[in-house]
Amino acid sequence: MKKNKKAQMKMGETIAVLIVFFMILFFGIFFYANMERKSFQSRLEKMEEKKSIDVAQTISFLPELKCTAENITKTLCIDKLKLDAFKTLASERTQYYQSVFSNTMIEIAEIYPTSTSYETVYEGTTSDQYFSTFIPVSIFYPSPYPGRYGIGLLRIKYYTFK
Amino acid sequence: MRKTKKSQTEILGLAIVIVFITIGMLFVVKFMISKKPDQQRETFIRSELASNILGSMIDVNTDCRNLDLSELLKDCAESYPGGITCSGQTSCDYSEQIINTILSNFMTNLGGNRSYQFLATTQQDDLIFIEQGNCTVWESANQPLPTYVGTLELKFHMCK
Repeated sequence: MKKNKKAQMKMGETIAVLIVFFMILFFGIFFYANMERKSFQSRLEKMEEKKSIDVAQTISFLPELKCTAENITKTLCIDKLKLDAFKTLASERTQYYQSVFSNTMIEIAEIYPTSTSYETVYEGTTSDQYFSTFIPVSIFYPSPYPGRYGIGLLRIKYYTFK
Repeated sequence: MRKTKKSQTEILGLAIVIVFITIGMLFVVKFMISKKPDQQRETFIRSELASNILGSMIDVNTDCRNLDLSELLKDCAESYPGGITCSGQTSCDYSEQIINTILSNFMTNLGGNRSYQFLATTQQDDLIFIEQGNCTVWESANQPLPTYVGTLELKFHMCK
């Protein structure tokens, strides 16, 4: 009888140890999974931020918009006539520009000599969350000849979906 | 006596496990607290914004004989307060007015209540100084322009 009781106690002890061990294990797995999920979300957000910078850089050096004179291109310069033509082009070739710009809205405001509010140049798929990137640019008004330079501000909204 | 020693050993084992778990948790918490959020995007935008504002300003054509701003500023430096006059203003005053308008329009479109400073200086003199709000410098840009009287430094500080 005494031996039975001893054995039962030992068994109970072992079971208790196993229960505690598995509790600690599950707690550890839960904690690790939570940390990994947060780390993954953080990496995804960083990727989205880098993507928004890539898109902003692509737009500011877009051949369809940039100023050229005698085969020389001026950096961070937008030709006004090309800009007006691009608005039509972008609405006609939506699939192509969707692949280039992803989920982006491109707006431009004239700063000098005229001051205007933001005008939409291109609008892709939008959502509630976005990163805004501002790029000051020169705007070249080719007409009347020989043309003159003004200043504009590009606002590029890169939309994220969660 | 043997039973007491056995139970003591078991409790000691349990205590060691708890100590290891606690140390592990402390390291995790310390790591999570000390990890600074990555600011790559913020840094990129900050550095590009100030220099691009300054870069786009100096090429702009003005209504003063269709000269660009850099030419007016050079004239201001070379023959202070300016040999060229437009609308009854010298090139220095005219340039200051234009720069004020441009920067004011920029800040309106960038949003928020942003402060800034603009300076045009030579080795001899400060030619133009424009300040908006109290300034804790957030990002700076410089643009040197060569003139007959030395280098004209254009400095633009965007403030917090």
